[in-house]
Amino acid sequence: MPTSDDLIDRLTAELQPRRTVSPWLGRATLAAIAVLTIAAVAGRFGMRADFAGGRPHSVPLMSELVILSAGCAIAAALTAMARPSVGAFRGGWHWVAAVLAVLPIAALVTAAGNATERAIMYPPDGPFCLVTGSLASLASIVLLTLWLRRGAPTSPERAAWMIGIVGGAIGALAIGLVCPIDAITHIGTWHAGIIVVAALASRAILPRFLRW
Amino acid sequence: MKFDDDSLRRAMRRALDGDKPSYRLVLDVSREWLLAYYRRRVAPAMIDDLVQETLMSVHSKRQSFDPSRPYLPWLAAIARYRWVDALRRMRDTEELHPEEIAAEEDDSPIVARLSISRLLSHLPARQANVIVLTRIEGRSVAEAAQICGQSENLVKVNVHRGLKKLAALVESE
Repeated sequence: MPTSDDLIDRLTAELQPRRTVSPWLGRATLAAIAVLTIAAVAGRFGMRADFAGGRPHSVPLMSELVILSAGCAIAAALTAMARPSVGAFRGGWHWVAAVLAVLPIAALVTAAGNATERAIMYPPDGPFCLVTGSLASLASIVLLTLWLRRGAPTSPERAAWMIGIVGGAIGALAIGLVCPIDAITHIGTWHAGIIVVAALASRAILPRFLRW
Repeated sequence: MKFDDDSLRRAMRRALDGDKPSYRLVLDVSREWLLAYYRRRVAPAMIDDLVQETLMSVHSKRQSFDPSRPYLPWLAAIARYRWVDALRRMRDTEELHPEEIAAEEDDSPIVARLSISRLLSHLPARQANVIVLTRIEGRSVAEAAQICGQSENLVKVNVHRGLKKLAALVESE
């Protein structure tokens, strides 16, 4: 191996101007991809009449808002990971992710006391939402992975979890705007399931692409 | 010559615009800082390789530096990442030999908060003890088992789990 003097000579000689990674640009690009994803899903399957008419039903609206707010908070923390720094607090995302558990918990509590609601948890309607929403999350997951590779995430595993949750949240948001079912037992299992599937898949696949 | 963090931040900002003298200054100062950083963490034989790996990471990831923030915490994060990477490589292969690690204390608060002894104190005693015995003092698994009163398999499990936890602790600092 050459000496560190040789290395510094070489690195200095190779220096070219470089634009810094901007978390805000990453967030703006992610927002654009999210809007395109939602528009594509809504265009393909048709938006729910209550959302399209500006009078959304309460349960789907509340679910969409929970997913949107948690997704935005985790996306902000994720994009900040592109710029590492010792001393920067990065732990809050766990709590935000835990907020998403409200949906499956509400589904389980509701299903426990109501047979009609419980029946909605089972197929045939759920798998369509899970598969379509998971596919809809792919564009955001790919974009976030490519974008984060420009930066220097110091915990590839944590970054992979967060990418999956954000991508899954976008897929769940998109499917929530087209799925006609109002029941929390359906939303809390199959729509929230999109986030779980995306997070697990991302954790399994992405760290190797995020290491540097 | 000592440079304060603000001078380094400004030099790195100029380097991002392509200013080569500023970049050389940043790399020279970074090398000295990294030598002190790794001296307390890895065996002397590993220091130069790790410093060079980190300088290459500084070069390839320089776009991740935020010019509005101090330079040394960014460098420390890059160095810590490379150290965790080395710890992971070491987990199943080479041995740490911190008895050769220089004993002098570094005044830098960034370095101090990442000291290995402090990290070991976060591990359960059964894991910290076997890591010290096998990876720091260089004893065999059988010797460590006899000293700690654990079975050899348990020593191996505790070393593996302890190093894994150590890497996670370093990452979360």
